[in-house]
Amino acid sequence: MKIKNFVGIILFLAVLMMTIDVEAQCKRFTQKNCLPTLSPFTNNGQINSTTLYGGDSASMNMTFYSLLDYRLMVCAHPVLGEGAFFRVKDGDGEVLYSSEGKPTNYWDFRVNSTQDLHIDVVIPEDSEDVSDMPPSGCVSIILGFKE
Amino acid sequence: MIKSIRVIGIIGIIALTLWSCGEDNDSKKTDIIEETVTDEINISRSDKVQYQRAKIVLFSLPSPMETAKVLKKSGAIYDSKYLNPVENIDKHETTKGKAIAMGIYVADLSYANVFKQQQACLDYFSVMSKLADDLSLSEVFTKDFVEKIDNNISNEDSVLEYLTESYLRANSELKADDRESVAGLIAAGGWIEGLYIATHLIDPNNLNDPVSERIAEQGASLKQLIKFLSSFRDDKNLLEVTRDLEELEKLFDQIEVERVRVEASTDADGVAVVGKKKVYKFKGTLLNDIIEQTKIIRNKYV
Repeated sequence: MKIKNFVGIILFLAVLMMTIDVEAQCKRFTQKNCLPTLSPFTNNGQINSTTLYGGDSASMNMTFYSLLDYRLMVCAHPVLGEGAFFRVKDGDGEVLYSSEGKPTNYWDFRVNSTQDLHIDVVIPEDSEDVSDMPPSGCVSIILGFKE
Repeated sequence: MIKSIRVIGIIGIIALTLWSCGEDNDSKKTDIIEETVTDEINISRSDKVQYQRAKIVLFSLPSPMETAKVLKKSGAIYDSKYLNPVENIDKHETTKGKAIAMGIYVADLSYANVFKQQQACLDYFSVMSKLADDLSLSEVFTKDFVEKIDNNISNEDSVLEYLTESYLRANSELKADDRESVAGLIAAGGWIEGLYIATHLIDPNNLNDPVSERIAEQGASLKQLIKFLSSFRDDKNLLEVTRDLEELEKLFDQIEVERVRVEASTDADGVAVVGKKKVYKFKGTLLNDIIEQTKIIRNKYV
């Protein structure tokens, strides 16, 4: 029983340290590889990052003001492959943009009226990857604005 | 039991492998690929899928910096009497009070900056630095960073850059310390102050005032903010401000909105212009009610 408890504590601490370290790695990756590409737009002071596996997806709602220009960027770690893409839908579910097959990982746009848009980030599963564990990597959704 | 031990084992192996993959320090130059999780762990896809997380949902809120820019573009003018005096900083003793005040001052600083009010910017950076210390945010206003602010305070773009940087640093540090609810309070303070400033720049009897449209538009971000705050279910610090915002939401829900389909287009600079056009209508005393309720809430937290 004591050994089991000890093992449990060790595993808990290991998981805790892993989480902190993976977050720190993700933050460094984003600051080094993604934020510079946001220029000439100003970051809105928030970076939404998470670690995704191939086959995972993440979503987010964001409010966009009508009088500003925006750059929406989804920055995925290269280990996740070239296939990562994002889709932007309006409040009625109408797709306004999809980066699937596009050469850039960002979209510059303006909205006719201030509104919430829904962003889906998709990391396709690599069908040629025969390993047991799909790769995982940092994905950041970054927003920049300018007048 | 065997299954449980297997799961714990799997998590443990992943944890230890990932931990050992980490960098030793920030300055070490490491190839991007080396930072990632390897696929050397012997775990089957079926196991991975079994314990895979649900679809991840992230939150993002409009920043006070965006709100200030939008207000200025709508023809608003600068009037310092609507801002929170720096002396009010001493009124706050709790983490909750200080965090909301921090958000309020971020909004005030954003507003002062778009109108190039250098002294006000310096004053607000100073109170933000004090609040950051009080909130144990040691990585925000470092000595070097404060020096950079002091040396470039006359440049609007630089001030915006430093304000954004400090907002980003605060959010990152709070997330890393597992104190995201404090970030929620800062966001709430910034949102409330932005709306408060807007409600004082409008002629409530002129429904054609462009600022009235800016006020109506805040309904979208208000819903996002309430969702974000509600995601911290057990945090008592957030209950009061969430309830206050929900009262305001009831008023915003009464604004009539007409959605007009507009074909997507591209402007002269090649920028896509998308989304439906919205036309807002305030009935009866609704605009005044929103202005009054905003004032009540804001004055509770300054």
